[in-house]
Amino acid sequence: MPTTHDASRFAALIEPHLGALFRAAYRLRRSVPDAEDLVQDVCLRAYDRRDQLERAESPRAWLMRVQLNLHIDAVRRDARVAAASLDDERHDGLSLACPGADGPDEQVEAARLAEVLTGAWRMLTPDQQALLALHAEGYTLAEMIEITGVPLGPLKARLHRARMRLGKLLEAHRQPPRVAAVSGESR
Amino acid sequence: MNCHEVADALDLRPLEFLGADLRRDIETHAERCDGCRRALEAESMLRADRVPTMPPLDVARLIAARREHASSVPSDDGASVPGGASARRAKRLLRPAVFAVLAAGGAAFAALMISSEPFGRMPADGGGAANRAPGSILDAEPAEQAAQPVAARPSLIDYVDAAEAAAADALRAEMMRSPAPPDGDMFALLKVAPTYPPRAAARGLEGYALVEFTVTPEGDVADPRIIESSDPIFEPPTLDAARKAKYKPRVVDGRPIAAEGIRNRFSYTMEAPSEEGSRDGSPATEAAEAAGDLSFGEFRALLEPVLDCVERSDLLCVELALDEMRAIYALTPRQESELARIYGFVYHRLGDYERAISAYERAAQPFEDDPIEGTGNYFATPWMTVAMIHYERHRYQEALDAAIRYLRAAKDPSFADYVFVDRLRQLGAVVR
Repeated sequence: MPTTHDASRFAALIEPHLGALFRAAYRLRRSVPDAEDLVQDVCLRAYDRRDQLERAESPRAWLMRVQLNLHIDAVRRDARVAAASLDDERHDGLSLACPGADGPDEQVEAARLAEVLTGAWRMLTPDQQALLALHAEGYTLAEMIEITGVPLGPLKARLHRARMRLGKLLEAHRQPPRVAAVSGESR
Repeated sequence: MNCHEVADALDLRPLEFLGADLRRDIETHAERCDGCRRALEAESMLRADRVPTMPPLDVARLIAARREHASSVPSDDGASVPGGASARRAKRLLRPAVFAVLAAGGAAFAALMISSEPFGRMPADGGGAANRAPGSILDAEPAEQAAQPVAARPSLIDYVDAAEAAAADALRAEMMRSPAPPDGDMFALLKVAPTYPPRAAARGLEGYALVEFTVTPEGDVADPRIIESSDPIFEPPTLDAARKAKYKPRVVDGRPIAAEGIRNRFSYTMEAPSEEGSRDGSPATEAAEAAGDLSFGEFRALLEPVLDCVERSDLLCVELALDEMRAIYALTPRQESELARIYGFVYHRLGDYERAISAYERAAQPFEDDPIEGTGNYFATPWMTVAMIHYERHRYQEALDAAIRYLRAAKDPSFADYVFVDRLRQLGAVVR
């Protein structure tokens, strides 16, 4: 039976990595509440396997791997729910992009870009999201190999394909909105 | 500059951190290449995307809350299941409480804030780029490839075999892609003891035979001939044993070459027969055929739902299902071996390398010296996986030991396997 002492010890072990996990989780989920949920899932899963975590040569890589597993699992398991929550999450993306922007114009532009990116991001496969999230966070290829287990050649190929696909999707999502779509707002 | 070079550059670092000349070349290329232009835009947008600061999270409290909730909330089948659906419900229900307590903490709240500091880098050693982990979490592709040639769904056994074989192939490709495969000397991977001629044994006759042969670029023995012997009676078993030997071929300028004039001396001396040597039949084959509760078809059918778990990347589900199967049924040693391999696959995916290695060794060892007919490389492949896990962990000696066991057991090792062995030797491992 786990004890409070176990939980505190585990917390001390995992807390140095929470920031990194959250950053990657946010990139994966494009929503703060969902990223929080994902990080909590990682904590719970890691707690159940804390003996493995303690033995891991690179705890951060181990945790990141668990996180990507959970993300991929969740997306594949319940794509319908993800689609249903798209509207709420887009609002999250808008509100989050704004605080860091300099002025009103920049905020609007940042919000628009975040919306475009979120829309395109949803169209990627969870595998592609995982690779691009790690890449965007600045992980090196060697680190990505460590985390994902994908060998160098396939990793580079998949990363390239993911980047190209995101580029295409971004272009599609950047198309100016049709008049019918904005007429209600201009009233 | 071409598209591959653009991709390579973007893989290494953000555009703004590249040298001015390289950056200009990339931008010039992107002006006339729509694909690269889009890739650059995607890259820039991703890098510019801002990540908010993480709200505080009290992990100890989360764990404690989950524990309390798990003990009070029954799962769907009426039992509390840690980490299952009840735990997920508990987490969602408890999240506001966990955060509310922290929010009330004022200064303590700020102290717990985890800033958006840059990632601390994990060790990015020089060998890292060449490292690999076959049980990749993103490896849906091997399963898809395995599913394509046949209309029926692949069994879990085939799935695991295909995934590991694909991983081994990727390693081989990686070995062959390096600037030039390393040169290396020939050495024996497998030497087979000759049969003592019964008539010589009956007469108490001892002696020797010296045989000369060629080691082909494939590592096989060709054209063995007796150079000298103490008695012609020792010559036929000497030639038979020589033909069964296996070598790592000599590699010169990155190519395997034949080695002629290799000599080997076989000595025949009388010894008291050991207990092991007096056993009749094949222990491994007998063990493989021992009775169990399940036929081969039933065993595979039981594994079908486990494949679902693997495809969903639900690794805990895999472990539970396999444990349940072992608890309920008496399995044959071969079935145990196949389950051990699946365990190895699962542990590897979980990042539990030591248990993965142990499981793979359990899977391969019983049939190492006496493979089951018609199974091809099935019982050899786990050794290559073990070698790759060690290689990934920079344990080159252990990797070489496992790679040699693979080469001994494999029906048709490729040249890339020998390149792998040579590379491990270059990294300091020695053939034992």
